[in-house]
Amino acid sequence: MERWTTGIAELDLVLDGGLPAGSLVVVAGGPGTGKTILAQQICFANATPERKAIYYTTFSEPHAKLVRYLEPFDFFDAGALEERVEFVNLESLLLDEGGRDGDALAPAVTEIVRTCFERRPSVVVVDSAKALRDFADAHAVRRMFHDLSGRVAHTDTVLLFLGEYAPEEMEGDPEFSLADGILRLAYVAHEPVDRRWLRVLKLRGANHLGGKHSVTIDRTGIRVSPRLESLRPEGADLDGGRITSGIPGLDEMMGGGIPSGDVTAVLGPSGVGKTAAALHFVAQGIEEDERCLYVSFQEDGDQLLQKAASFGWELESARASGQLAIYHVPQGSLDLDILGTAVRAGVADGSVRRVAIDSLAELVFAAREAERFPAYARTLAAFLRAAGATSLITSETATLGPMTAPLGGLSFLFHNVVLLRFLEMDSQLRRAVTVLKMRDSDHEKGLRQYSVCGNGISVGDELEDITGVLGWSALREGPPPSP
Amino acid sequence: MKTILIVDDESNMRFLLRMILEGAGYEVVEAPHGAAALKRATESPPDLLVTDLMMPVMTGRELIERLRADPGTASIPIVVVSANPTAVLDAVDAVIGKPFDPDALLEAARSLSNSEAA
Repeated sequence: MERWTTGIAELDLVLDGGLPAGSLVVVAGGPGTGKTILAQQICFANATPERKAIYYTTFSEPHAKLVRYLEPFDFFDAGALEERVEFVNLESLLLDEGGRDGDALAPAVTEIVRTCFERRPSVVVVDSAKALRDFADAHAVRRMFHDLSGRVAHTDTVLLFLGEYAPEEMEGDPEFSLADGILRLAYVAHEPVDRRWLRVLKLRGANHLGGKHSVTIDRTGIRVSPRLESLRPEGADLDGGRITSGIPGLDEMMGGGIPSGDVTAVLGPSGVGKTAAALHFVAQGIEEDERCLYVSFQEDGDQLLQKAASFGWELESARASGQLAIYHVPQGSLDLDILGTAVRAGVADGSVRRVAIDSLAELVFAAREAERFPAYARTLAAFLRAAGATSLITSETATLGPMTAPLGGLSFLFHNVVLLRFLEMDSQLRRAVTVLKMRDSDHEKGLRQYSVCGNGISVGDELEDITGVLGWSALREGPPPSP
Repeated sequence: MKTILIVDDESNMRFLLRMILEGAGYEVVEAPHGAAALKRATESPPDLLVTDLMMPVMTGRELIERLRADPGTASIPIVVVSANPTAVLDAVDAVIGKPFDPDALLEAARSLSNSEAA
């Protein structure tokens, strides 16, 4: 089936390739959700002098205002107006010529159908289609949709009907039962950051991606970040080898290193050295001429590089050359799907070998819908693995006291789990590391002390003759009591 | 009194053009698209035609071609008021961009209708 691009690669992905030729698609949503921008973006992406885009307005903004508000967007081209993109008002056909022969909408239908057949536009938009209800009863509106859907289907033009339809109107109104596709846009005020989303309610002839897909609007226009869990990563052939964590002593605890392609969770309280561990992991990759991606929700790129420098790792040149990409997302701006899209794009070419995500706590916090987080995290991990990357994800636990279930029961998402913790021993606060879990691999079960100093983390010998390590203090086992 | 035919699919545009031109003493008649304008201009040629380009039923471009092809209307001065004033139109006498400058419109009307409004 021939499809027209939306001009937005990620939206085309959601739509299984784009908008089907000859289809009537309703774009529904409240004021300010981006309907007009999306429709304009689709128009400018497809319009050519031979296959123009025709933008019909009914009782929406005057064209001069429409143009003025489009000018800031990168996709807008004033020189394309009339040459490739036309703004045409249907008002006179609805007011002056409508009503003849008892069908108020017939002149507008004739205009649209004639245009589609005679001028062969790539895209035709009607904004607002809902306003047509002001001119005719429900029966006439249904007939209009029936006529347009049936007639335009014989062309390869995409017909977009925009309207401020409420969700309940989408249940049974004629526009929606006759449409070939329905895209719903919404804006939700929600702390810590408001969110726009798009959902495909229907798209005949397409295996579209379900769920709410994040939408942002910037100078480029509409950006769509597909719901990560709706995507299916394709697997990569992994060599089955191991890579070094970069932390002296840890590889030995992990049976010889981290299995290639694995996702390893590094857990621990604040200040225990999780970010240092992630930097170790990345610095090792840089030293081995691997491409690395570091996703940070706290330190920005410069702060991370300073921290790395304090351990003796000069990563600035790697960042400058593109060998190291640092993606910093302030926590207030964190959106799971935007992050997912950025990470997918970061590893898309398959050349990134190491990914560090610091930390999972922020991701969990950003998951407004808590029930989606396990599937999200699993899909993110699958994308990283499919891209051929080995990943290290940090996550925060309680600072002191008995160890509760790490990751709130999400440890099954990770191949390997490494626990960093503070330990009270001999009246001193020390650090200890243990490998809690490795999938399909043997590993040390013991606890080792480690230190964080000028050259990073250094893992020492195994702690022996102590007990209570899973509580908040470690007690040396004394000699057995005298009989 | 000179007669100006204004052609635009937006009623608000026609309202503004009429207000400005009538204020300067012109008689104004309107058409909402090219087909209606062609009929009106053929029946009673105006002294000046002010037209949009992007309209339903018949575009401004087609209207201009048809007017120029008909000896009865070929000499009507034409001003295009368009959102894209860079559009190449050899057959017209002036092009004014939208949003339009009323002084530019009146200057074009004055010079092209060939005399001060009566």
